[in-house]
Amino acid sequence: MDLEQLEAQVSRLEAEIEIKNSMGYYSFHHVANMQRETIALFAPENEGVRSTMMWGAYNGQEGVYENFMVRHMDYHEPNRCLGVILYHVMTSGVIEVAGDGQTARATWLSPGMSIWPDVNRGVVPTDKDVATVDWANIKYGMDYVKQDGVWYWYHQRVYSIFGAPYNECWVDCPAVKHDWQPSSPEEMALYPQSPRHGVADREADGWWGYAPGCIYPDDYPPLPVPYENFEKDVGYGY
Amino acid sequence: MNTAVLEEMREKLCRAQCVSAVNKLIGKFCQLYPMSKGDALLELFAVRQDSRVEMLWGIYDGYDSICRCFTIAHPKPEEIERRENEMHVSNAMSVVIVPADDGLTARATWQSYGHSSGKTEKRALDGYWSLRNYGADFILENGQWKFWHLHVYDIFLCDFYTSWTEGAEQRPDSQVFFNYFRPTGEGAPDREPTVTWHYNKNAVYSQGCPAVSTPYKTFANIGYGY
Repeated sequence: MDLEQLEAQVSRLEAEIEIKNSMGYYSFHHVANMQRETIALFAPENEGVRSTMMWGAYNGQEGVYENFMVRHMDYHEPNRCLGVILYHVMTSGVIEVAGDGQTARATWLSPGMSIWPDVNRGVVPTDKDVATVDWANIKYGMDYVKQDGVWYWYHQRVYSIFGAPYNECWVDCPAVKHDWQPSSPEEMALYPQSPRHGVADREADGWWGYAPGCIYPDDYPPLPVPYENFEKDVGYGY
Repeated sequence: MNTAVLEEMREKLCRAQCVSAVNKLIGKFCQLYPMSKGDALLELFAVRQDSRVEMLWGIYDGYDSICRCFTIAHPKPEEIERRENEMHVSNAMSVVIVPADDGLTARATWQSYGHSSGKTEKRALDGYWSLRNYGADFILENGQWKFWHLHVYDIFLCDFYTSWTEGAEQRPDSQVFFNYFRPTGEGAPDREPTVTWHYNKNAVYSQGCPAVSTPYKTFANIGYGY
């Protein structure tokens, strides 16, 4: 092995470390409603970036901003963050760095919990104290891109496993697809921060959540496999 | 850079690559297991007569037995009826990976906060919190890192509506509970589990279940492994 080969292999390991750390940053930022810091994880000035929540996909820089700064809640507006905890732990990661070292893909399991006040779920509150406290067991499918020597997020996709109120077992409480897109004028009014009112660009493709009689889905998401080049081998990605 | 320095760097790189590969194997095991992808799980294991899997209900000795474990004791992808309602998810956390000094084997331990769903003795459909530990040995096979020995250790498995302290009190010999899940016929394990520690209010947390991985020279130094 010559020095050049050594450097290439070290770079691949460094990529894994940076990628793993970026997921850790996300967990810490997300629970603290640090949305500007979360947005900074995405590749800057790259219009191919995408963030897909269970209720919809947000495309490009504007979409990512809409998702986190409008649809979620930022700590600079503490009134919107009262009681909110979105606690998603990253575990069991499988990371594949592309042969050309310019992109990477990963899937993660994430046990966790969430407390969303109704107002933040796009529901017009009938009681200002109402909040849902849920177990939130989910997965992530991620694409990453190296830009100016730094690893950034290219695509983020959230997949559900189960969501259930804290006091009800998931087998007794079938998961329901999040319909958290503001649609009525009253719901739109909850998100005055932007003209889009937090609405995603499109529905998320496919959805699964645990319910009696279900079969745990294969390839939801598919685990990353070795690949040479994102454009050629992977296509659209997670 | 002289040859000696380059060689030292190469050795350090190999150790780091081992840790990366073992991390990936653990992640794949966690993500594939609930998908009932037995064939894909088997690709993670070394094809050896001394490969071994110890589940909570018993031990599968050798690669052929491990095949029985993941494709007979566990449902195949096409066995829809057996897969219905079943969801068993483990999350690898607090992972400790130690490659041997000789670069031929590695050992790892991790903790798992997970959940299980499916048919139990009590109900047609039940949901459980499952806390577990894992211990595993890994071996280099044709240049690829593979699981060699995998051992699942229970901490507690309690149904959603019952505290683990209450549940354990009701069944101090929790192994009886796990025996309910023990497959029979072709999927049966080769022998009884070596560890049957389960939480109950009168139990002291068991040290060495598993012993956390520590630096070692060669596998011969550590005996039988996990």
